[in-house]
Amino acid sequence: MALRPRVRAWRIGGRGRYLGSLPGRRPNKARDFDAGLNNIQRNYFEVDGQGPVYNEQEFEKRFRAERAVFRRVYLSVKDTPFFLRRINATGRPQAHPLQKVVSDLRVLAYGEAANRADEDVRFSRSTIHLSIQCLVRCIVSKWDSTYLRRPNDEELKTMMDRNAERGFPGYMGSLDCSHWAWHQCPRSMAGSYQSRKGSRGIVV
Amino acid sequence: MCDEDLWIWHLFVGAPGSLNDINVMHQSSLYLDMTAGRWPSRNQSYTLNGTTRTLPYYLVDSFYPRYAFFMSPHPMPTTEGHKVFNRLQKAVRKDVERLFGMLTQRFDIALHPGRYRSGMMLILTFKAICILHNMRVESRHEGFMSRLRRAEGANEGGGAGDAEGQDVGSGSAEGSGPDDGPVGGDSGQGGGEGFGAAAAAGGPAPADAHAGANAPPLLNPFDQLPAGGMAAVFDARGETRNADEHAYLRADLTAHVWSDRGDLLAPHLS
Repeated sequence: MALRPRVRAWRIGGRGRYLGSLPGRRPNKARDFDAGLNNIQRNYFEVDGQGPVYNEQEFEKRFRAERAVFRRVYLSVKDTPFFLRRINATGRPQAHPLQKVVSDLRVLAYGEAANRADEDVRFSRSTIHLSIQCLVRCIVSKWDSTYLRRPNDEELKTMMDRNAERGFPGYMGSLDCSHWAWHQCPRSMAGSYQSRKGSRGIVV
Repeated sequence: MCDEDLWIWHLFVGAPGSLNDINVMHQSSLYLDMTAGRWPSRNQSYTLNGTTRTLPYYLVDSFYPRYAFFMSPHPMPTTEGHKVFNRLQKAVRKDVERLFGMLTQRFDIALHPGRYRSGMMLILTFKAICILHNMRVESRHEGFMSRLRRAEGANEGGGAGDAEGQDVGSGSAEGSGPDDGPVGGDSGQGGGEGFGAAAAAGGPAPADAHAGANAPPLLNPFDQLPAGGMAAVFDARGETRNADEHAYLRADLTAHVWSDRGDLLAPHLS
């Protein structure tokens, strides 16, 4: 069977950009997205009149965020094109935005592999990977100027007053650097990203 | 850069790992703005040992250069006063070490080597982690600064005012369970699909609305010429990078700390 050029390029290149569903590729598994959604709602939210299985402490432990923070993240991304629940070509609804947010936060919180959450939320590795990128971009573009801004005059004054009690008037913060290793650092950039301890990474 | 609540005030991420701390500092926007006189606005003054200054400073370790806006410990403490100062300086600066410990504990993705193929994603991910961390610090409103932010949120007319009283009363927010927080518990959660709609009704007033009002004004944005001409920029550069001023400030601080060393050191000596 003659493959379409896009598919052929993907095969030859080994791995390329995400292509999605195309002729000549393996069909998607029947993942039953609703089971994943029901699972999440049963565990952490209320469904069918039954309360959540896990309480607030466990919720906070699993997502490293309280319900309020989780809710803000969820509400901010749930209407963006990637997260929105869509109807696919066969007329069936796709996954719920809640599933995507949950799987992304699990990856951020636990540092786990992207396919780890497959059993719980019913997503493939590549979907979760894409979804993390979208979530991270959404968060940064929306809240970068709110949460990572410099202090204004008023806050600076409060901070300096407060630190005067600790013995350092005029002190406005502590400064330090840390390294975050980069596992997939390309060979061509290894030289500039190599830290003095030998691992490759970026400075934070 | 962070303060006592572990609120991250400035983040510069993405420098290649082969750069040391000084190189990273030299290319960060914070350093460039400070040495060009764009930030801070120098409206706050403080008096130390009879000298009044307007340039606030950061606590750093002895690795950093001797600039007027850095405060490093005495490299070779000889007198008792120097030793007391160094002890206190290190105790206070430990905030930022706590921050890095806490970030990696809280978001394990920062603990393990990043698995992305592009450096941009690493940067974005770390920024997102820091934003989530700040949101969490704000929502738990531990400490004074974040409570202040919440008070501002309440003035705007959000639902934050109710929760504030009880939470201030509950003392350290670490001890009190998350149930006490402004989360609204399960009551806010409708059944199943209605989660989004139900959640939109309650919840604390987010700080987004204040982003514009609270954001520090750019004193001299890049696209405009500096107000005082280039001479002002050179003056600011000379002033902020003055090593003598660094020494004077440290001497003044040492005298200040020495004068009431008992009270200041007490929280750090167990």
